[in-house]
Amino acid sequence: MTAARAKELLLGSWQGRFGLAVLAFFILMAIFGDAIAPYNPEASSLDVLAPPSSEHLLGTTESGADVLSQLLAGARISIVVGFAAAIISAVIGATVGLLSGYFGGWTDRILDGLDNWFLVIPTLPLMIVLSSLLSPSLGVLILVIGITSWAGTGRIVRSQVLTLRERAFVERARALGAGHGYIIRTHILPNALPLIFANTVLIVAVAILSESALAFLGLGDPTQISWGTMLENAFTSDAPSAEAWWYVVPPGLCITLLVLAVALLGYRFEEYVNPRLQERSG
Amino acid sequence: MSSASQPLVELRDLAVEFRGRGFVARAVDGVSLEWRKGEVLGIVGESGCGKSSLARGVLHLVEPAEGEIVLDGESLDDKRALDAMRRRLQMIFQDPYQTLNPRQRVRTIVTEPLRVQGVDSATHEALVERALTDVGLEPARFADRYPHQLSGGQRQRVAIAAALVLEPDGLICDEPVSMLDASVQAQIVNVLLEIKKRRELALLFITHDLSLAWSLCDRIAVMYLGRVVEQGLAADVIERPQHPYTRALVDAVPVATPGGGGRREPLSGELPDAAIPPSGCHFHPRCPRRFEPCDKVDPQLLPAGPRDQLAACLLHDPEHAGAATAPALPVSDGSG
Amino acid sequence: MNAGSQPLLEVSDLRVTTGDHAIVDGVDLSLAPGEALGLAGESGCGKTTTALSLMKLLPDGLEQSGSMILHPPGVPEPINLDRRTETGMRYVRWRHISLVFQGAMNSLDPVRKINSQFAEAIRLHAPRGSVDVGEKTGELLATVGLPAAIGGRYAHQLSGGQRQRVMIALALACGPSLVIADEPTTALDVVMQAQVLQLLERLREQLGLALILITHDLGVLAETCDRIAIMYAGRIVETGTVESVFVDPQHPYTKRLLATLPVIGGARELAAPIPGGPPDPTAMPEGCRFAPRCPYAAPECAADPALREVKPAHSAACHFAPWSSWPAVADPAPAATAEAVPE
Repeated sequence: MTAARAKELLLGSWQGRFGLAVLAFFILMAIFGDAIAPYNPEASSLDVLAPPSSEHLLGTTESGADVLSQLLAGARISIVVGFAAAIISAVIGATVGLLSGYFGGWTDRILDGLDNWFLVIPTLPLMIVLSSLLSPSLGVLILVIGITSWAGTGRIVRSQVLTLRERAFVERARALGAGHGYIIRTHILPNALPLIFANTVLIVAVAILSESALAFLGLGDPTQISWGTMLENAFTSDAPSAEAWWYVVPPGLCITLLVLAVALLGYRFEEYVNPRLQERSG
Repeated sequence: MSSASQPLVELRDLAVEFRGRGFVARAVDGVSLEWRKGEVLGIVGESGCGKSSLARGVLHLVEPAEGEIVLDGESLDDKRALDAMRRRLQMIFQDPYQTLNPRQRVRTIVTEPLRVQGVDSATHEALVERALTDVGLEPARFADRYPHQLSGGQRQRVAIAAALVLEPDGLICDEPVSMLDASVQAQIVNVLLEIKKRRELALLFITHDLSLAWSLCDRIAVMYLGRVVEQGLAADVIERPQHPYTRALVDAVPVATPGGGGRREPLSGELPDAAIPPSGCHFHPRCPRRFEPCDKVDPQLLPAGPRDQLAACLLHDPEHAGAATAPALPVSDGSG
Repeated sequence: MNAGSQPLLEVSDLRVTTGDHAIVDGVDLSLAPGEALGLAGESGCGKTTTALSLMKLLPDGLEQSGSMILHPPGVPEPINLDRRTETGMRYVRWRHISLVFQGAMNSLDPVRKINSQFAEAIRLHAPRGSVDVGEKTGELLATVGLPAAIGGRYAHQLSGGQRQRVMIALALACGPSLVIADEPTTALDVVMQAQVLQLLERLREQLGLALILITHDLGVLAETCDRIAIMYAGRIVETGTVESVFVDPQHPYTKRLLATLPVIGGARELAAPIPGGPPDPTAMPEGCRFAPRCPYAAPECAADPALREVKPAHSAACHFAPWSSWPAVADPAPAATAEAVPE
C-alpha cells in the first residue's frame, strides 16, 4: 500500500479520523497512565464513594481509591489484551484459513469442521469455562480470548484463498514446479494479507469487549485493575443503587469509545480491501 | 530441419478425469499425439472439448488418470523426469488479467521461474532482460511496473517473458489471444512466432479460432468430447477436412470477406455432457452424415485424405463406409 | 439501403464526454428500416458507449450531446430521442429500440425463472390483460428456436448459447423496430456463434428488424451486416457497404486491420501487425488520431481529416483517400506508438 493510499484510508473519512484519534488517545493513556495518575490506583482511603471533587476529579471507589487513577491504569490492560489476543486470533485464523482453502480435500474437511464448530458455539460461555478452569492471569485471559475468536477470520481467509488458488498466476507457479510452501508464501499470503489485517482490527474490538466482560464476571486477573474489574467492583459494592454514577460511567464510556473507534477503523480497512472493490482498480 | 521430425512430447492414451458426486467425466479420453521439436501443433475444438484439460494433463497440473507422457524419450512417470519437464515445458494462459500476481512487479514475475528452479542468481538480470526484450518490452521502461499499470497485450507479453526465461523447448499456449483485440492479437501472435524462430521453440497452441490455427500451426489436432477426431497438416485439416465435425467447425467460421462464401447451415445442438457421452461415435447425435452403425461402433483414427491425415469417422473405415450409401439417419436436435 | 425511404434512425454529431475529454467525438449515423449496421473497433474506441447513448443509458459521469431522431414505423411523428426525458425514454426503450448485452449471464436475473422475466418485459408495455403472457412467452421462445419448457428454468440451468437466445427473445418482447446487439457472440465459441448469427439473420428477414451489431470481430460483421462503420479513438474513420469496405478499404487503419486477420484459403503468411495501441483518451493526438501508428503518416496529418465520401456509398476520414494503391512503407518506430496504459 502506498503512503497516499494509507493516508486516504485513515484520514479520508470521518470514521477513519475519529477511530484514529480515539485509538491514539487511549494508547497514550496506556503508555503514560502511571506517570500522570494522581494517586496509587490501589491505595484505599477513608473517603469512600465520594463524588467528583477537586481532590478526586472522578470521585472515589467503595474502598476510597481514586477512580481516575484506576481508569488510567485500566487502559493499559484493555489495549494489551485487545491487541495480543487479536494477534493470536489472526495467526490461528489465517493459518487455518490458508491451509484449509489451499489444500482442500481432507485438510479442508477437518479444519473447516473445526472452524464451523468454533463459529457456532457461543463464545462467551466457552471463555468462561476455559478461564475458570485455568488460574486467572493476564496471559491466560489473552490466550482464552485468542483461541475462541479466530473462527471468523478463518472463514473469510479460506474463501479468499479458494478464489486465489484458481487464479492463473498460482497455476503458473505450479507449472514451474514451485512447492506448496513457496506458493502460499509468495502468491497466496501477500494477496490475503490485507483481508487478514482488516479482520484483525475488528477482532481487537471483540477482544477488548471480551476482556471487560470476563473481568466483570470476576474471571479477570485479580491483581490487575481493568475497566472490567472496575465495573465488577462497582456492581458488587452496589455503586449504582448508591447513585455513584462517577464509578460506573467512566469505565463504561471508555470501553464503548475504544471498541467503537477500533471497530470503525476495522470497517474502514475492510471496505478498502474488499475483493469486490479491489477488482475495479486491478 | 532434421530435428523437426523428432517428437518433443509423446502422449500415449492419455486420459484426464474429473470426479464429482456419483459421476466421472473423462475430459480427456485416450489421446495419443506427437508434439514435435520446433513445430507449432494446434489443438482446436469447442469449449468443453477437453483441449485445456489436455494441456494441464501434459504438465501434470492435473494428475492424468491413465496413459503415459514421454518427454524426449523419457517417461514422465519418473519423478526426476517430471522435475526436468518443469524446466523444459512452459505454459501461458488465456486471461491476461488473472495471469500475473497483482502484488508483484514485472521484474519479480519474470524472475520467479529462475528462483523456483534454483538458477544461479548472478545470471538472473541478464536472462530477465533478454526475455523482456524478446517480447518487445523495454526492460528499463517496464521492469518496475505493476500489472495494473499495463494493458492487456502488455500483460500477456510479460507472461510470455516469464515462460521464456528458463529457455524451454516447448511452450503451451492456452487461448493466449482470445481475450484481446484484433490488432493486439496480431501483435502477440507475431511475438510468439518470432520467439519460436529465434529460440527454436515448439508451440502447443490451444484455440477455438480455426482461422488463427490455420495460419499459425504446422499441424492440427481437432478434439471432440475428450478425443482427437482428426489430425494432420494444418492446411489439409482446415482446407480439406475429412471428419464431418471438422467440416462443421470450418463452416461455422465467420469469414472477413463480404458474403464469405454464403451462409451455411451451422451445426445444431450443443456439446454433450462429458459424464454421459453418447454411445458409439460421440459426435453421432449432431452429425449430418451419420449412418447405421454410428451409434454403436466407436470409430478409430484411420488414414484419410492424401497426406498423413487421420480421421476417426466410419466414413473412412473400409469395413463400414459401404453402409454410408444408405439414407442418412435424421439428425436429432440436442438443444432441447 | 432503401433509397428514398425515410431512415429509421438519424444520429448527428453525437458526443459523449466525461470531465474534459470525449469518449465519443462527433459520430454521425443513419440507419434504414430493416438495415443491419455493424459498428467495429478495438475496446475503448467508443463503440459500446455509442450504443448506450442511443438508449440514453450512459452511466453516471458521462454526458451526451447531439441529435438523435427515430422514425418508428406506424408512428406519425418522429421521436427526438435527444430531447426525451428519462420518463420519455422509458416508453422508447424496449418498445422501439431494445438492447442485447454482451455477457448474457449477467443480464438475466439469477433468482427468477425465465418466464417471470418475460412477463415483466411484456407487461411493461402492454396493458394488463391485453395479451396472454404465457402464450406470448412461448411464442417468443419459439421464435428463437427454444422449447417453451425453457421458461420454467433459471438462468444458471441454461447453456451459454441458450442464454444468449433468451436474451434475444427478451429483446423482441415488445416488437421493437431496432435491436442493438453489443458483442452478442463474443463469449460463445464458433459453433454457438454461428447459430446465434443465423438466428439474428432469420429474425431480420421475418420481422423486418433493423440491427446495430457491435463487435470487434470483423468476420462476424462481414457475414451479418449490410453496412459497417469502423471506429477509432471515439470517431468513425471509415464507413460504407460491407462489400466496398472489405474489398477496397480506404483508411489505413481498416486496411491494416484486415491484413492481419487470417482468412482460411487466403494467404497463410500474415501482414505485420499494427504497432502500438490506441491513444489515451485524456491525451488525444492533434490532427488525425491514427497518425502515430500509421505508416503513411505525412505532414498533412497534423490537420484533422474529415469523414468524406471517397467512393460511391463509402466514406473515409483520411487526407489521402481514395487510395488507388498501398505502397510498401516501414512502420513508425515503436517508441512513438506506445500503447496507452489503462489505469
